[in-house]
Amino acid sequence: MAGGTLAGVVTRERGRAGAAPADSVAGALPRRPSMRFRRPVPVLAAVTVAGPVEQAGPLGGRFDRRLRDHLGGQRTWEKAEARFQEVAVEMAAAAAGLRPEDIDAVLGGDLQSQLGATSFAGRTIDLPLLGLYGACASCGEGLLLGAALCDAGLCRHVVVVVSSHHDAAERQFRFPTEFGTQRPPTAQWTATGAAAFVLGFGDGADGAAAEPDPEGDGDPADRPQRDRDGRDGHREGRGRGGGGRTGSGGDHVDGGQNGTAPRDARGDSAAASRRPCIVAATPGRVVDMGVKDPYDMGGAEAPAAADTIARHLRNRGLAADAYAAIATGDLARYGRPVCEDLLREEGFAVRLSDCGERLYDPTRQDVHAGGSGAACCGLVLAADLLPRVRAGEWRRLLFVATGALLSPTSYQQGESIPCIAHAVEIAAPGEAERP
Amino acid sequence: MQANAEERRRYAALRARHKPPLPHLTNLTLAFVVGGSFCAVGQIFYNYFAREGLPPDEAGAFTAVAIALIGGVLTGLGLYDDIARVGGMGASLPISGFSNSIVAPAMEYKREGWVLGVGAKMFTVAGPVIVYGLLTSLVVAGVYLLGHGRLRLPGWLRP
Repeated sequence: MAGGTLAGVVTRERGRAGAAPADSVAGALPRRPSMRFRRPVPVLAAVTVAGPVEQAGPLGGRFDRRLRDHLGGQRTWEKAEARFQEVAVEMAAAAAGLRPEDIDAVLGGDLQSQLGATSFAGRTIDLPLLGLYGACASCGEGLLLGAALCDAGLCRHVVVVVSSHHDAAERQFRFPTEFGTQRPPTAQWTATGAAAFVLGFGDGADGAAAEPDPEGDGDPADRPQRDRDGRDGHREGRGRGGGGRTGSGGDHVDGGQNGTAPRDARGDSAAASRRPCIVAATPGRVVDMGVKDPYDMGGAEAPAAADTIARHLRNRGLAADAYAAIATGDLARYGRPVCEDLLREEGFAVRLSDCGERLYDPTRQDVHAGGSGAACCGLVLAADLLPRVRAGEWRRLLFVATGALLSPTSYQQGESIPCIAHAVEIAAPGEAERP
Repeated sequence: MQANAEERRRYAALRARHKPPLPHLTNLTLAFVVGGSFCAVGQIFYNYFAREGLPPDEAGAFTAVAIALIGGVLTGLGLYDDIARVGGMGASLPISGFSNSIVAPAMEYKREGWVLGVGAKMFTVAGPVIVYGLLTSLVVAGVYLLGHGRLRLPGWLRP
C-alpha cells in the first residue's frame, strides 16, 4: 500500500508518540473512558432555522423556520445569525412546552470571532449562557455537556443552540463574498441557519417537568426514581404530574408552567414516549495530521473523527452494527471515505453517513464537496437523524460532530489545522435502557 | 495528537487517494472563453475609441478604464463572483477582476463604516497586487534603463 499504514496513529494515546512502536505501551496507559450517562437524557425538542440554500437541498421541507434571504430582516449577517439563535431557542422552548424559567442554561456556539452570534443572541435570550467554541463540532460539544449537566442533576432543562452563516463565515475566514474566486472540488459550503435542542428530564408534554422539586433539583439520588416514574407513566403522566404539583405547591418555577405551556406540546403524549435519549458520549481530542489546506476541511477532520469513533466503539464495547447509523458532522464527500479507511485500519469496518453530504444535493447545488459549519450537522441532526430515531426507524445513532479549529491568523501563519470530533450516542427510548 | 513528519506523509498519501483531481481541462476551457469574452469586449471598446480619434496609447488606457468599470458594475450587481466561479483565472486576470477585488471588499465592509470599513479594507485583496506590482515595475524599469545605458551604477556597485 502506498505510503504505509496508519493503524494506531490517529488513536495513539499520550506517551506513544514518535519512534516508540505503537503497541509497546498499549495497555500500560489508562484508556480515556467514554461517558455513560447514569440515566438516558431525553432530547425533548429539536428545532431548525434554515437559510435559502439549505431549503433548496433534500431536507428543505423539514426545517421549522425558513428564511427568504441571508439577512432575515437584519442589517448585517452577523446580526442575522444572532437572530437565528434567538428564534431557534424560543421555538425550541415552545416545542418542548417550557417557559424561560424552566431552562437553567443555554449552551451556545457559532463560528464568529469571540462567539459573536451566541453572545449577541444571549442579550435577548436572557438566560444563563455558556458559550462554546468547537467550530463545526460545537453541536456535539453542546449536546455532550448539556446531557452531563442534566444527568448530574445540576440543570433541569438545557437548551443547546448552534448556528453558522455562510456569508459571515466567508468574510471572516476567506474572502469578501462578492470577490470572485474559483474553489477546488474539496471546498465546502458553510451552512446558514441554526439548530436548537432541548435536553432534560420531563417537560410539559409528559408531566415529569411538572413534578415539583422543592429541593431545587439538588439531590441526584432521588432523580432516577422520579425519572423512571415519569417514563413509566407516559400515557397518564399529565394527570400524575399535575397532581404532584398541586400537592406540593412549593415550587414556583414548575408551578408556573401549569396551563401556560402550549397545549399541543402537552397533549402529544404519543410523541413524548418516543423521545430519543442521549445515552453516552465521547469527548474528542485535538488531532492534527498536518493538513494545511483550508479548502479541504473534510480531509483535515477525518482523522479526528476516526479517533473519536474508534475510541467510542472500543469503550462502549458494542459492535459497530449495533448502530443503525454513524453520522459524522461535515467530512463531506472526500473526507468521509478517508475516515472510513482510517477506521478500517483500526479494525472497524463501518459505513459512515455524513451530515455535510445529506444537507445539500451536489447534483443540483454548487456546494462542491458538501456542507460545513456549526449549523450543518445541527440542521441534519434535528431535521433528519433525530426524526428517524423518534420514528423507530433507527434504534441507535452515533452522532459525531467534527470541527476544524483553525483561525484566519493560524492559517496565514502557515499552521496546520487542528481538528476535533465529539461523539454523542443517541438511542430510541426502548433501546436507551440497555447497556 | 500531533502527527510527526512520517505520519503526515502517510496521511497525505491516504488523502491523495480520495482527493478528486482538479478539472483542469474544463477549467482551462472556461477560463479561455470567459477571459476571451472580456478581451473581445475590450477590443470593441478599443476600436470605438480609436475610431473616435484617440491615439493608440490613450485608446488602450480608456479601454482599461471601461473594462474596470464593467467589472465594478458586475460586482455591484452581485454577478462577478458567479462569473469568476465558472471562469476562474479568465475572470480574475483581466482588469475587471482587479476592480472586482477592490469593489467586493468595499461593498462588504461598508457595514463597518467609511473609515474603519471601506477605507481600511478596500485594498485587502488588491493591496498585495499593487505593492508587488509597483515593486516589480521598479525593478524592470531599472533593468531596462541599465540595458539602454541611461542609468549608471555608482562606482562601488560596478563590477
